[in-house]
Amino acid sequence: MTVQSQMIFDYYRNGKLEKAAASMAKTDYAYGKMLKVLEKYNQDQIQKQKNLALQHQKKLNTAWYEENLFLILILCALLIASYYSFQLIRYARRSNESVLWSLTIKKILHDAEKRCRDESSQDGIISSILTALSESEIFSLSIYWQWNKKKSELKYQEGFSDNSGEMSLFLERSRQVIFKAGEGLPGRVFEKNEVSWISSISQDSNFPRKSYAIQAGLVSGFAIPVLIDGQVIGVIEAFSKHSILDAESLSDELEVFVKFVDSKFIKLRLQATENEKDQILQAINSTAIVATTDVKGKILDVNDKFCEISGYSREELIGKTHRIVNSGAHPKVFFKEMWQTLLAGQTWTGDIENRSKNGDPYFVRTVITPILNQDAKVIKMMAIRFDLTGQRKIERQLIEAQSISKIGSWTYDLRSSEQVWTSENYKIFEIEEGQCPEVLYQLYRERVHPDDIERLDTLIERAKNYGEDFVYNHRVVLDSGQRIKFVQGIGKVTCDESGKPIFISGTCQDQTEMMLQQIKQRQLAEFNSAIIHSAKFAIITTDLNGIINTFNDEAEKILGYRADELIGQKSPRIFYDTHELEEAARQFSLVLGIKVGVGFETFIANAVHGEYDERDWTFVTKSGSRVPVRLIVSGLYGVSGELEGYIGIARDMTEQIELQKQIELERVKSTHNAKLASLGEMSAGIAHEINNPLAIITGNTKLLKRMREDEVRFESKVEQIIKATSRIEKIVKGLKKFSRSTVGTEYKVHGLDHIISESLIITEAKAKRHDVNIKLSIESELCIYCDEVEIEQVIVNLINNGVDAIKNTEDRWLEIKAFSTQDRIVLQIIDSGHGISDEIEKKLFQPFFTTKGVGEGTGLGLSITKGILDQHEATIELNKTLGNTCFELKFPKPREVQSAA
Amino acid sequence: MPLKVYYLDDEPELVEIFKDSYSSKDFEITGFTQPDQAVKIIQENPPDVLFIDYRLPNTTGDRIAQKIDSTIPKALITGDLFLQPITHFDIIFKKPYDDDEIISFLNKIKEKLKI
Repeated sequence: MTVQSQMIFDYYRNGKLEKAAASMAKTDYAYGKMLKVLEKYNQDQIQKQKNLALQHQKKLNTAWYEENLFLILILCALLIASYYSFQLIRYARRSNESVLWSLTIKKILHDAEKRCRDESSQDGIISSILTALSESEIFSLSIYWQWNKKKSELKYQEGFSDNSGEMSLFLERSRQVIFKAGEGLPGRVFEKNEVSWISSISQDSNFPRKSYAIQAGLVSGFAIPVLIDGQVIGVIEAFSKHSILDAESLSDELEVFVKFVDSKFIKLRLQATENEKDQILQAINSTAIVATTDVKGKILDVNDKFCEISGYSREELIGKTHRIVNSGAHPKVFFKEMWQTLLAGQTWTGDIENRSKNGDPYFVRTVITPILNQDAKVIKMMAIRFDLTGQRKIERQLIEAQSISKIGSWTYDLRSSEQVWTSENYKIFEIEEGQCPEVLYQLYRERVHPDDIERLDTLIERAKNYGEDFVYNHRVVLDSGQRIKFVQGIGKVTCDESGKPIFISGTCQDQTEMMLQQIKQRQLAEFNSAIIHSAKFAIITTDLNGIINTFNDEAEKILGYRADELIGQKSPRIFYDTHELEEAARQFSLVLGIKVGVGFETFIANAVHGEYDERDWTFVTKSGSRVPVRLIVSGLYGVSGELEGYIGIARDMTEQIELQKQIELERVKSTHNAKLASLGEMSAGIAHEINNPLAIITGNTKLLKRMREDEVRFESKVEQIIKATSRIEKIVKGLKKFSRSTVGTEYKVHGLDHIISESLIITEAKAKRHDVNIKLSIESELCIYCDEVEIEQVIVNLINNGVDAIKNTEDRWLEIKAFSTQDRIVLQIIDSGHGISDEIEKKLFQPFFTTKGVGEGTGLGLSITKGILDQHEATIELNKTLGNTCFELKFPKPREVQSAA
Repeated sequence: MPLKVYYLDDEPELVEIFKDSYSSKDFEITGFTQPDQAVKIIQENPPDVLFIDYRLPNTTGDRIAQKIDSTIPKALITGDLFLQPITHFDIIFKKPYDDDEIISFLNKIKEKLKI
């Protein structure tokens, strides 16, 4: 047994269960080991109980004899009495005096019996007997001599007399005398272990107290040995003032006297054993769960503890088997083996998980003893159980705690090389449980990272040799290098009295997750920091009072301050233009309905209420230059959701504003480009229109030479040439507008019919080519205030789109309607198509959206159209009320002033 | 025998100019301004060579050519800049056309037929 186990065992044996548990937890001593120790202890106890029981059996036999002794004595007395009366007749020479002595002794015994009844100690019994003797009619003095084993001598223990002065002197003398074996009357009786009479003290040669006895008037006496288990432990003496003639005839009476004392002593010891047994039973009853069953397992009786733990009443249990508390946790074979053991007459010990009436499991350490009859046949079973639930709970909690914290523990006995690991320890190193020590350590060592092995070995060696405790972090390689665990081991060395290390115990903690977590956290922190610092936004945070906490790289770049000259010192107030801040404060006050002061409170006016505020500001940099920014300010909330400060994210708008300008320029340019693009498209369409009159001109011109003489024909040819030329002129005039190079617009009031007819010149050719008939239905005198070229472009665009949409269909036509409503001038361009799907309609006015094939359209058309119409405060939308595709344009009516101008 | 030449164009001036320019003892030119009429005549009395304008009222020269006997040589005369691939014509002339090219084409046909 190891030091730890001995210590724990001692605690356990002494009933200090909590200390034992604590000690177990502290040393992490494997529980299994402990159980073995406890088992051994239990078995020892059982053996002791058995021995005790055997002794009892013996004593009980003696007790029976004892209990009936008095009856026997009376019977004996009767027999003796009848014997004596017979003797009196037969042997007349026996003196009356002898009979008197004999009867007196019997009377004394009777008296002693009465006196002893309530005595529960040896001394009490001796005293009772001595008193009975000294107060009898014949004897005047009695003494008890105690045998001192160590000194091998008899010493006066107690004495009684009739209290006369002479008697006292004799007692006093006796108190001073010590007898060795064989010396004096007590010595002789002790040595020979037999009763002895002195008929005449004055004539006795071996009686050192003779003179005192004579002085006290004592004439005769006797002594008897006091026995326990056949061993003489003392001697009782009694003296008489009367002489005795026939002492030898009274030896039998004395023998009875000896037996009487012996029986009293036995009874006493039996009583003591009985009490002890009661106490043990009581102790078992109050701590253990006890049940007796018949050989078939039917419960005969249970104690309160059984009822208490199982939740069943005694009535519910008696007559049932233990199946009533079966938890189902054990396999059938478990109980089968138990019964085999029991029926073979052997004690069975084991841990059982039971289930109480309300379904809770409880664990019991169970000892079942078969009770045998005289023929060694099992007649019933006695089951004594101890509640282990608490212990199991602690054990489970320990296992759970180890599992949760991923801490395993181990012990290493340096003397026996025994190693014990907890389940969690096995789990950490992914080793199957129940390895023998040599293999276990080898398996463990194989898993340690090669770079960590040397240090581990060094630490273990130092612990073994010098008793040094250690902490080591090592890597554990698993799945042939695929996986690595980070494990922290802690070892503590226990030394013996001479300081020699004998035992190492320790823990191993799997810190892999912790490490990964730490790495992740570090990465996250780095990532966050990277975001803040590499963001192309100025990020500035403040505490609740407006003192700057964060000032990122972009903020430094925009504002020209270094973070370290602001953080913890300055408020963002220093970046703001005072006039702008005053204006903002005024606005906030108006909107929020409360007075907002000028300062830090101005730009957190919204944020302080949990809102965020986005607006344009002008930041004043360190050098005094001004930067336009778009700033979003919101509250900064902690983990608990409490407002901890403010965060401002600002974007330098300088470039943005510059870009906006450029975009505007681009837009104007692209409008112009679109014009050119449509011109290109147009030119293809109108080429035919130009080439035809051109062919007429060239053809006729060549013919003119030949027709100089024929005046009529000549005239006709010239006329044709002029007509053709004017056709070309008209077309070119229409194109002129598109070639206008100036960027910008010219707003005037124009007749809509005129603009439409101009548009048609350009588009007619295309419509004709695709065999699309264009119908017109235009109210007269409709005027709009517009840039003629732009609106013409819009109409051209819409007509071209319409033609493209229907050119491959059967029924091809296009209609242009223009009319006036109460406040609007409406222009409808309707084609024979059947509308536009909702899907396409959504994207219709987006730039570059086109349904045309590659090379047919740029996709800019409708977005430009929309842009132009927006500038004219006109709208464009699909009118879906007609069956056909209809783009409806609504222009505001021109004001009188404008038309007058 | 003069070469029998038909010309179809919706512009009367151009028909007139064509006739004025190329009528001779070698070439007998007949002009049409109505496609339907032209098709009818062509089928009744097929020419040696046929000139057709591309852009015609409610139809195109291409569609007309499709309806005519494929053995008759055909020339397309057009003012358009871009045309879809054309399969039914032997040659294309762009307005304003060159006299020499037309005459050279006509002579080639004439020679071919005589041989």
